[in-house]
Amino acid sequence: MQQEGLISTKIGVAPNEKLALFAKNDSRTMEELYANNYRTVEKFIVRNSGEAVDAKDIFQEAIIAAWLNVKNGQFREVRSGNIEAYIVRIAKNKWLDVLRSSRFKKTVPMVSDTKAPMVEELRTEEAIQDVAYLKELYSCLDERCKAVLDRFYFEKMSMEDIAKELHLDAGSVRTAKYRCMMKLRKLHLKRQKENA
Amino acid sequence: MREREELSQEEFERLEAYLDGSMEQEARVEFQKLLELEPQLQNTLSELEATRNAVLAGNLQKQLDGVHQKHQAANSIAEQGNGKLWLRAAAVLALVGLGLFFLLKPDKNEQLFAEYFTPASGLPTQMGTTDNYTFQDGMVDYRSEQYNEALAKWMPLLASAPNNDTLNYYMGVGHLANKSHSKATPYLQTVTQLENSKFQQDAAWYLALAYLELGEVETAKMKLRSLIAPTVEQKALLEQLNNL
Repeated sequence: MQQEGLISTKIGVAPNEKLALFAKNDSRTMEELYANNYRTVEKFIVRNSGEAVDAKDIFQEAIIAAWLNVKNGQFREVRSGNIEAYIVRIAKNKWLDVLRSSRFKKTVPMVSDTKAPMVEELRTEEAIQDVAYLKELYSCLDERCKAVLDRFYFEKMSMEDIAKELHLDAGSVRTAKYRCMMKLRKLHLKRQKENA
Repeated sequence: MREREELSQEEFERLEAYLDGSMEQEARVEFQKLLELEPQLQNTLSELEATRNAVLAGNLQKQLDGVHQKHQAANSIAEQGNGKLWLRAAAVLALVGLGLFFLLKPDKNEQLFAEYFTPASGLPTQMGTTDNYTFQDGMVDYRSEQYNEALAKWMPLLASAPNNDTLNYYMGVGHLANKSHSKATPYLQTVTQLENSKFQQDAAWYLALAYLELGEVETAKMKLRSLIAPTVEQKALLEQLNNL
């Protein structure tokens, strides 16, 4: 049984199927997105002082950033025809950001123009930084917590179905979900304090 | 709410209900009022959003790793297949010959255009005069990738400012983004002729891309050569065009 949740309420405004499928992380849509755009991003990176291996992380972080923005209703104006272009643009911005970083500072001239970043660019860069941070945060979770939270938030399973799969009662799953989220929140607050 | 780091299960579930949209309408309105009054509550909500996003991002990453492996494997097979078939492919190409070359050429131009074209970043919104307001209004559409709407708002402004570089530049790029390449060229040409415009070089780049898409490769190359300080990307396109 699928729970009604974030996607149905916030992506209800999505004007068409492709964007809705992207928001639902539909496998075929993700594969198509990869097939259509990975090479473009890879070429851009290789042409701009990078290596082919750099493309994987950049492209994946761009997809995740776009996906979170679409899911969280922050980019409702993105229409289906533009979602792929939007992801490629995030990836290119991210790579330019890498080139501006200390890794390249000493050896590589600035590739892009030197205009100040516009609102859109700043927003996507912020989203990209979030992705790296969020991935790191998630990696700190123990497997037991991941088992509950992955099923509930990502797979959209109901408490009852999670309980069945994990051989627990629904009450225990509910408590486990709460405790695991609090662990993650505590870690997040700790990171915030460290970075303050 | 209590101390920032403390959150009861009941409070947590209430915030969750708000985040996932399952909170009743009346309770939602009340909660929103509370949010305005309590910045701390807003912080807690943001923290929960971050933790939820962490779970989502971690999971999508796993899914994408699988997609990546599949993609790489498919490409590897395709390359091997291409290797074995090259003799047959060469024979077919020899038969089809020059005619096919001319048929494929426009596709190659379109492909290169798609690869290199990224619409210029929009300008941040500012307050100003009436004309400026209309321009900014169009800019909001432009930034939302609603190019038709932006162009319709900007078009009347040209009557009073036919040589305005900003207006011509964004009209040109808007038409390119809208895939109306031939309409883009007059606007971009106007900007390239304005010696003091900060958009002059960028306009020349977009003009080269427009000519490329229109199949006028030599003119595109000429425009690329005219760039004063070409970026690596612009140099790469010129090199690719020289090798066509």
